[in-house]
Amino acid sequence: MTACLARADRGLRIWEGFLVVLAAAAQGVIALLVLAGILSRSFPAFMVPDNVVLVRSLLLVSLAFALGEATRTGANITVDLLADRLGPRARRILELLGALAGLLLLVPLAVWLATYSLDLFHSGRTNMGLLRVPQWPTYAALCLGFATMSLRLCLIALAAIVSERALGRVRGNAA
Amino acid sequence: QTLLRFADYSANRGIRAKFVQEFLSRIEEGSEGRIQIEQHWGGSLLPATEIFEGVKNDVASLGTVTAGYSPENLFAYRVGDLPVRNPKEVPGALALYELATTNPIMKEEFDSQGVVYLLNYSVGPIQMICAGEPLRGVDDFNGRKVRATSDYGKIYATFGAIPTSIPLPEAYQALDTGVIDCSQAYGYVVEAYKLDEVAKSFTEINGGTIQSNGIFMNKAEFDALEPKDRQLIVSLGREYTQKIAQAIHDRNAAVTKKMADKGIKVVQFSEEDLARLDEASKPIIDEYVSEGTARGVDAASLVAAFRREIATQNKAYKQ
Amino acid sequence: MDPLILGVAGMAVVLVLIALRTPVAFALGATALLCMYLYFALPRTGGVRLEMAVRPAMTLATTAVYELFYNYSLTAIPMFIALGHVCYRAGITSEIYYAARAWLTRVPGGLAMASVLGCGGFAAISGSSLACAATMGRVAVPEMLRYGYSDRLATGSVAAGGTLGALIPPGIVFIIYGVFAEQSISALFIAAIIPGLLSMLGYWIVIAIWTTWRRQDAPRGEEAYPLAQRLRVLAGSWPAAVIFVIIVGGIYGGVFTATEAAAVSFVTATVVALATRRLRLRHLGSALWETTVQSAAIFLIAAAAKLFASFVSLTGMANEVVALVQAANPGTTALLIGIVLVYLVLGMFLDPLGIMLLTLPFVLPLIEGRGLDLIWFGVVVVKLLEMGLITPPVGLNVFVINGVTQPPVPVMRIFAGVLPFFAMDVAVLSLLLAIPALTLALPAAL
Ligand code: NA
Ligand code: NA
Repeated sequence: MTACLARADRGLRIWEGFLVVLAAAAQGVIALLVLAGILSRSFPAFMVPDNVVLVRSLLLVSLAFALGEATRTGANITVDLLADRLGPRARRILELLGALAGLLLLVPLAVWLATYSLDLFHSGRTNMGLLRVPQWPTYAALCLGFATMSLRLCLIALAAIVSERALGRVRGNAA
Repeated sequence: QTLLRFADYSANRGIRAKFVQEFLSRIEEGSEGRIQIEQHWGGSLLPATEIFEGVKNDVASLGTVTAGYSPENLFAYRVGDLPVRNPKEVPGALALYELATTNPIMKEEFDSQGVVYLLNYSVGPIQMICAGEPLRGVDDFNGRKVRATSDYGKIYATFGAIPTSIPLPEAYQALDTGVIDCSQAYGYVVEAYKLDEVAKSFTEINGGTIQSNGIFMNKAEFDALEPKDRQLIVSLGREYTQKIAQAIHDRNAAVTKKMADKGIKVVQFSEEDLARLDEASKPIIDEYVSEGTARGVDAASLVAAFRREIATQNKAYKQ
Repeated sequence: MDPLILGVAGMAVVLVLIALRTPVAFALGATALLCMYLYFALPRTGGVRLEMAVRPAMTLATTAVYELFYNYSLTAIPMFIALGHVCYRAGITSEIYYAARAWLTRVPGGLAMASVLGCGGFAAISGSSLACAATMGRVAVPEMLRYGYSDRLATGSVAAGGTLGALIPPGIVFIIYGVFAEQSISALFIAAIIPGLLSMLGYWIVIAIWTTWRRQDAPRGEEAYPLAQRLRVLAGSWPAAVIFVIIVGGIYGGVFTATEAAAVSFVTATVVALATRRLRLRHLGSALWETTVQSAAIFLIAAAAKLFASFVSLTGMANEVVALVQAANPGTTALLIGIVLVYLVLGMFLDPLGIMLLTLPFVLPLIEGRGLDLIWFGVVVVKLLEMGLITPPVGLNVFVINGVTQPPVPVMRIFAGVLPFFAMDVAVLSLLLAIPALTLALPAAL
């Protein structure tokens, strides 16, 4: 079981890392697009059509793609009210509870977003603006982010059931 | 008893909100307690961009819909957003209302989306508020940074304007600091966003408008109502389309007067400049027609019907 | 099911889950999602609609989350976080703190005061408190910790200082209030200046008392620096000054908007840092990496808070609570106290924007009906909303600081550090309520 978890963890890590690289690049592009928008008011050559739509789409993609890595490194913010006074077993139970609450939120959202982005793909709904950027990719990206995050939470939940060490491993540097 | 949820993206203040609240409470009264309406203002239930989807999916039973946010779903209704000359609030609103309630293309569109069209909002013709010298004609667009929606941005760009996309809540500061020179605005928008505090001139273009905005209702919820209640809602819809347009007209006029009184220069475009705007608007209408062809919708006849209806209403109704 | 009961139950569940160490975003989001479903499945008009409830509940939930992630004005937050990372890695802000250390060596809590001043300065270029807390949290907290400040003082002062972001103009919250209440936005901005400065002064007083009381929380310098050295150190902080001048000049000179300023400052700082060889390209990559991961965590909480606000809106709670207050027909003072309490309670759970959208439709007519000034009330409301950013269990500024500080300071310690600052906020708020002239004199004079 532990070996199985470790393998799943390694695979998911690579995927999460890949997504964060894209997310970080998106932030860089956002900065450049905003800059281009400012410059275009004086130098029309810098005009990027639908600049605002592109910026907000990239923001969404960037945030969605970083969700998995944020979950792995324990960036999900918690309030430690009584955790200091608890034993390792109780901590694991709370960890499990947290992961389950996360799954309760994210799995329905991911499933709904998946069907919704398919709907949008078929109906061809677009954003306002000159380019008529289609809407389905941002919804699909959010779905992908939530799905990745759900997988990580599944690993955390399983590891919390298995052992302290397994939990430490799938929790990344939070161990 | 039926409980309906109404969703709107803006604050429950100002004239449009006042009349919508009146419209909703007249439904409640007229139904003798069979219908109760819960109101969610200020985007607290759904943001502006999602109200149409929300009504379709019954998150809200009815709500304020802006067609531009759902351009594919409301393709035919978007005819009201086209840059055709439509400078008078009441006839303009009634023209689109008539079309939306009688034209078979539109009716089919609403049916297929599972929504019912109840009433239309009017905003009045698109005008321009500027931080500096007034725009006296289309040639004055040259070199100015203008905040405009995408179609009108394209039109003004043909005269050398630099279209700038700034969210409306940021327009105030953008005009104040000079990030933009002019912003597209209707009289009552100037008032709501206090743009007159930072402006020196106001140009009444009195050309086209954006008016594919109104209240839509979820069809299943509508059909579930008793026949007399449905009839009541339909007749109130027409009544309030006219009332709102009239009130917006009065407000727009009052705001313009207020601006003139406080020393803001108010100017108008000449007929010649308007004709040049019409000319520059053609490609956008052509684009709409060919998009319709691609979807199997006879958009050319729709546009023609809309122009006819505007003419008819302008004759029938002296504002 | 009675929506009011559902709403109260939802809040209770959130409290319990957060106490049980459930990540805040999951506690808020999962509860809101479940309660939304129940709201549609068990309508107050009776009956059970288990299947028909799925579509509206899920549409509402996805919309709330999507809208928060897909938001142009919020791009400022990751950009300012990135700015903080670049400045920190390039040592640009270390030099400011070195300078502050040299000049303020004898002042008790001098670095914390400098940080609060920094928040105030930052507030002049940013309209958002979260952006303020994010940037200052990244740069100021590690510096204070390095000079031996206690983590509670270091994080508490910046979390509270961050609330100046919206209070000191420009501020997006005032713009939204102005549109809602149909009040002059420039008058609101001007009216907020004295309350903003007063809040900052209040924070300084807290720091002075705190560090006099507990000297160990803010170690003072051993020896005085000679003037020549102090000037040399000050000169060394030029890159920060250059960035600040470019941003302020750009905003007030009409080159870019306050939202765009975030990206400009990030790019400017990067260019300066690369040009002066304080930063390598590969460090820029890791700064962006950290930025996205931290932003994702912060946005997830904000989205969950928005989801929860949508649910509260659905229940019509805000309306009913205000109706209760109104039905009691209290005197003006009692009415104001009631409103303050409502805002403080909602502020425990919801974000400023959500609270405004929920409450203003019902509260503004009450205030207007009593003949109270809406500019003055706007400043009071914004101050209250800002206080909500630092109150548990959902204190967004506190979470932001926890999210961007390396190594992270536990949320409970930050809440503990914020407490005296919150007490000062209550005092400042009372002053604003008691003496409307503090707010209204300046707009009247100009
Ligand atoms: Na500010
Ligand atoms: Na709070």
